[in-house]
Amino acid sequence: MSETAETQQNFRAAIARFLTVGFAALLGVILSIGVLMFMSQQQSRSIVHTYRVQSEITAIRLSVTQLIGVKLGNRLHLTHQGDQHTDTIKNALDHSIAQFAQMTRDNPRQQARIPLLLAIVTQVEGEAGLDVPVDARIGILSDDPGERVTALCATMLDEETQLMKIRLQQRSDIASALYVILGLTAVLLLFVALLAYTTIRSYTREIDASRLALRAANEGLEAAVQERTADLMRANAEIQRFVYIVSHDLRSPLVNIMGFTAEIEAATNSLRDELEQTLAGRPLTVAPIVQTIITDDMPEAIDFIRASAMKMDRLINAILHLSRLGQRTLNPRWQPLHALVHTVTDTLQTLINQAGASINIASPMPDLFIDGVALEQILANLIENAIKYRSPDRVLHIDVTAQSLGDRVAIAVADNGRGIDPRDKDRVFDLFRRSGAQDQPGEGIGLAHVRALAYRLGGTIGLDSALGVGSTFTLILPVHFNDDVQRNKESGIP
Amino acid sequence: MTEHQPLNIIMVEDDAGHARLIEKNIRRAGISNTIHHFTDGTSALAYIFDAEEGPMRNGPALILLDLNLPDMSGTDILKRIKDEPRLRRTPVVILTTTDDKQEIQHCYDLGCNVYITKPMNYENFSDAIRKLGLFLSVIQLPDVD
Repeated sequence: MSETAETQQNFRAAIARFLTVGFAALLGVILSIGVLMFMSQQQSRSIVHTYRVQSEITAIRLSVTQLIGVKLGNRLHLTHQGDQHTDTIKNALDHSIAQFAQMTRDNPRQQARIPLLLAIVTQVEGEAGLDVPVDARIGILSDDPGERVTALCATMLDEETQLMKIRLQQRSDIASALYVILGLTAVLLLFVALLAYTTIRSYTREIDASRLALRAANEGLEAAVQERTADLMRANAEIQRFVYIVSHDLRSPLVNIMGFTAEIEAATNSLRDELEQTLAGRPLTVAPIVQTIITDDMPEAIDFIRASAMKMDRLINAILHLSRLGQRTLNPRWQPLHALVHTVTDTLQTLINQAGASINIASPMPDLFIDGVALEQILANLIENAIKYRSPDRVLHIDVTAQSLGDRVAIAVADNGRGIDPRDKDRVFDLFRRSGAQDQPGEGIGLAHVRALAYRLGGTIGLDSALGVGSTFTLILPVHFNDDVQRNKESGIP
Repeated sequence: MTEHQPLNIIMVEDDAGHARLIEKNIRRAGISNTIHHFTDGTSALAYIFDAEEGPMRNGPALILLDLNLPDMSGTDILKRIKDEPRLRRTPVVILTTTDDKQEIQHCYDLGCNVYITKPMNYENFSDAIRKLGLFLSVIQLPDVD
């Protein structure tokens, strides 16, 4: 299992690495495409530039040819187009030369040709009868300036054509590189997409698998919970039946003990009467020990037997009572807690008055969906206890409050009575257990009863107390009683 | 006529002590009728239904019935008796330790005439038995055809 997990983890890590590399490569490729595009654009611009240089060279040659034409025309007096025409040509020529010089300033070879060109042009201009500045006249350089210009221009054009060739070649190289890189990009994209797809599929499968596993586990859990609940219900029902039968059967011998104790008592009484008569008539005929047995020992033994049997009967009754509590069908309905507390205090009004106690019921209180009888029993028990165990030093005051805790409600019954030792905090809720001075009648049943009822209502009960200060019993109950447990009990388990 | 046929008391009680106490109290209450004692349901039913002098064939009877018997529940016996037309009017007194309200109700539903909880307080018990004696003396026993 762990080995598989490790292998899988390694596989995952490898895929993640590949994906990272793939994305990095894609980024690089896209960057280089950008660079190549930029370069290609630059190259295209250079090519356009070269074309323009070439056209300027052609324009120079044309202008020079025109000027030569003017010179010839002047010589033959064929035409005279006037100075204006010549000036226009000259202007165009100057402009073209300036443009050429400007455009080829990064090319020293072309720049080196400019002085010669200027010299020839000056010569031609002079010959064309144009006003040439004196310092520019460096003399006749050529017999045939037209030929020279044509040759020069041809050289210059050649130069540019060479440049053009190089640049076209470069551009085509860039285009090829671009194609290669685009191809590479496509391959990379495919690779990355494939990797991503594999990863996603692997994860999706895993998620599906774990979801299925989870659902299965959930269903299993539900079944397990149901099974456990059924087991618990069965165990609970069994315990209740057991308690019922045991306490029932325990009463049977007690009836005999009590019955025959009464028989012995009756016999003892007859014996005593007989003894008294005998003693009245003829004293000293009965041994003193027999007298003691009949008058003291036997009645004492009978009293002890009876008291113990009575106590045992009360205890068994308490157990029976608690077991019946678990069998009673609850009848929950919506009711206002405030009214319910008032019902309880009204019932106990005589006790409260006798104790001179004051009782304060907080308002408002929430409504509860609950079995009213059970809650009334709990509250009555708690208030009765407060009255029973009040402090003799002060007037008893009881506070009943309720606080909402979401879907639960905390009902507190607080008194300023004699208090319970914190060590007995849990013990007081146990059956037959009591705390403090045993100066009040009781079997230690009330709080056990209260706790059993609180559990039955789906709640809990807690105690907060200090000796000599008072006690606060806090009952936490669901606002809406959920009778699932009861339904299960009614439908499934006897 | 009932005067000629003495009333039999049939006591179905598995606890010997209880049986003795009941008998003593009945006697103390001044009732001298014959008491037939059975400690289990089977022999009690055999007597009630089949015996020559049993209530089914002959003579009026009063049945004192304990609910907890070793071989069957007292309510089963009660049901058998009340389902039989010839025995339906025979008075049945349930004597048991149970004071469970539902069980008491169930017994009355089945037709028991008196339900007495065997009380712990002996004075109460004697009292109850004495009242039973009074009950026996005033009871109008059905004619058996």
